[in-house]
Amino acid sequence: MQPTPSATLPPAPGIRMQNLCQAFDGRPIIQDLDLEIKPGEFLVLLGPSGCGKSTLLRLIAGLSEPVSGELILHPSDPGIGFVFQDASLLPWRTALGNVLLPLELDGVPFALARKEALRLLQDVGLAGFDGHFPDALSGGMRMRVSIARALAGNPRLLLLDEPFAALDEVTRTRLDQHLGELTRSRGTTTLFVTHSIQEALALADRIVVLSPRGGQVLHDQAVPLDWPRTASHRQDPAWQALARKLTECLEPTEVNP
Amino acid sequence: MSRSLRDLYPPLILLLILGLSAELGLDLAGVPAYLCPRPSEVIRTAWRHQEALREALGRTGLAALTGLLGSALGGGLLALTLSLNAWVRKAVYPLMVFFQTVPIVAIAPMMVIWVGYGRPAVILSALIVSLSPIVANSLQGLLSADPALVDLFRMKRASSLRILLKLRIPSAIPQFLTGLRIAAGLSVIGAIVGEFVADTFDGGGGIGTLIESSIKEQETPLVFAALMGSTLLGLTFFVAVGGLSHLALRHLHIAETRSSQG
Repeated sequence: MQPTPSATLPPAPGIRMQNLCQAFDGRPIIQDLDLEIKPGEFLVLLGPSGCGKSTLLRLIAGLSEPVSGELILHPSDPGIGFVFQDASLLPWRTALGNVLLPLELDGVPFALARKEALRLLQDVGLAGFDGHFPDALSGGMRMRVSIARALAGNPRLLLLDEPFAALDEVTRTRLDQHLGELTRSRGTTTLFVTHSIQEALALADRIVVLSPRGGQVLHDQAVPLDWPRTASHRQDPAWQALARKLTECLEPTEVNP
Repeated sequence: MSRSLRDLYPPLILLLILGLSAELGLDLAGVPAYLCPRPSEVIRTAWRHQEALREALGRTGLAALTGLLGSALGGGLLALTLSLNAWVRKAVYPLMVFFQTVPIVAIAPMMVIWVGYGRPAVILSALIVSLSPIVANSLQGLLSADPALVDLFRMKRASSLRILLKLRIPSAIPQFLTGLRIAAGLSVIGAIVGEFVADTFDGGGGIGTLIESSIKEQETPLVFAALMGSTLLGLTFFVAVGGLSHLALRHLHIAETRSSQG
């Protein structure tokens, strides 16, 4: 992999949320959330279903407006990449065509866009697959295309909503590894939603556990583990201690151990 | 042998059994041919009148095809318009459902008033009957584009027109084709009903006209032969549009969908 060096990119944004509230049909989803995310930080949001993790990502992406409170991105328009739970690719477009989509929407000239899209496919380990349609790719490969698409246009903020939840353990671990390398080499501010403690520990600089109701910060945990973190690191006492601590935080809610 | 050919065996065998049973049953019961002809008599009549049948089927087929193309274009555009505005959709859609519940036989005489006797009324009948499934399916397709992709376009501040052209219309193709497949069979029915009510023999009638005149002349075997021909025509339309839509979706790498109607 030859990811883009962070030195050539604009600064990554910091995010500040204060008394942030969101509700649907009068039902509160997020209540008075206070959270700050540093520029270039890889933050994992952990918590049970319905605790407002995805809602928070949509608020940050500007896809919905908060009921009240403050949500500040600095710089305010950093360029945002979003990876959804499903790969959500356009089936009538090739892998290259899918990665080209956001660049087309940004009005990037085709030759330049094509060059960047091909480089991104190479970055996510799909060199040579640019002409393949989604129906000819495996679930893991489709998700790699989705990540490449989210990185197109060099967004400085990357939001990922349980992107690898539907994949098998081996593919998931490999993709976690690639994603960690890509975001760290680019210095991208990253918010990653997951139910899995092991995945959170494999990726995060910091893990925030949200409460089951009301989307408040239940626990804020720095992850001072060395990078890169491979599967063998899971046996380290520091890793296991953190995993135990997070499990205790999440009990009695259900999570994948 | 391919699977599609193997799939043809069960209905063909059943048809053969039913045909033989009818042949024997009608013989044993002594039912006269003017009431219900034996299958062998129907086949002999079809052979004898093959030229008239072929010409009538050709005219009905052409009217149905013209009506189908009209409803594909008109229905597609109507669905597009309805998809753009929720208010218009809420206003127009119930009227469409209401319009669909009115039998074509009841509307057909009105078409004679609007466009007069002859082929235009037949084509209009085929168009009206085949319009509804195309609108319903296309609209469903246009409105059910992947929400995540809609979000992606919104994050890039894409205009509604851009979302329509780059996402909603391509996403709606499978449902549009499903609607077209249903409409294909219906267009033949619409054309035949139109011929019953509004067609004339000026320049030669269609299969509906042939059925009507054969009934008047009590040529029951020819009525059955014409019915057999119209069934084959409907089946040909259904299979042809189904095949074309299968090829189109394979070319676009899009999975086929089920219909919202029919």
